[in-house]
Amino acid sequence: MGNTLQANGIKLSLEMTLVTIRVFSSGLDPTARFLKLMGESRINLPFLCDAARDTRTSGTYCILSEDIPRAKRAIAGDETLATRLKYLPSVGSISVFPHNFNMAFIGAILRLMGQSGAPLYGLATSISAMTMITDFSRLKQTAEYLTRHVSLPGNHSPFNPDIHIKSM
Amino acid sequence: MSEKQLILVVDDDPDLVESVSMKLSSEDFRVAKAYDGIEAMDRIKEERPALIILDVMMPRKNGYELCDELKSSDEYKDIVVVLLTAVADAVTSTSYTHMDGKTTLADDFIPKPIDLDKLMGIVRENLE
Repeated sequence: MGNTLQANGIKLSLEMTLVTIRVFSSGLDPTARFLKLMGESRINLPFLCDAARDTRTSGTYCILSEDIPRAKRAIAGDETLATRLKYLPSVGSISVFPHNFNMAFIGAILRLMGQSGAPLYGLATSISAMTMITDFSRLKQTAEYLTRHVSLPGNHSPFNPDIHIKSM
Repeated sequence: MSEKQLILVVDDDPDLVESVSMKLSSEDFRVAKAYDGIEAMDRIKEERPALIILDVMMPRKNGYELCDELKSSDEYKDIVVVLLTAVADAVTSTSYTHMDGKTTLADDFIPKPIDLDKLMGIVRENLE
């Protein structure tokens, strides 16, 4: 593949845990309860994606690893919710921006992700970025693979965050 | 017909850059984008915007540093700078206001979260 994709930047997240909620039609959807508990505990969700298929829904959310003990404490009081959650530790997000609402760009980045061999646990787009969730241990390697095929400005912003804002 | 004025939007949050840029484009401005102070300086040298919407907290070179650099430069001091500040940082005056050990010569400011209509008012007012 030639170096034809243009982007303005790539951002990598800190280490996070992926939390999945699966809901079947017969059950009460615990998603709102989960979000309420996270809000009350002031736990940020850097990634949030809800999906629905037939009568089933699933939500995937990322929580910073350092916030997981607080999140689990908040959830522990709700037994019904606690049994609906699955945790996948040590994931990270890689965001490429801007996608300019171009489906071909999004498809090409997804193809590159596949070619890189990195597992894809989640995908979401915002108004500017497309964000993919993969293993935290493979984050830098995956970003390096993408940069072989995506042209970035010469003086682009660093991939890793050096500012971390925390709500207390 | 007069040429559209160029606004540079600088923030390390790509979604904020995009939403502000879309609003500016819909209001008939040309838009350039940058994601930190270093990138912003490159854009300023290349395109010389009429106004910069500049976030304060950014990697590599923050908004205060870039603002100081521009306002102390004969070449760039006339570019209007509107700072984006977190609510807790909101400044009450923009003429050498002292905050957290920083001083700023920004022409105006708007606190986050941004009210886009209010921002457009600030942009138009400062470009008059």
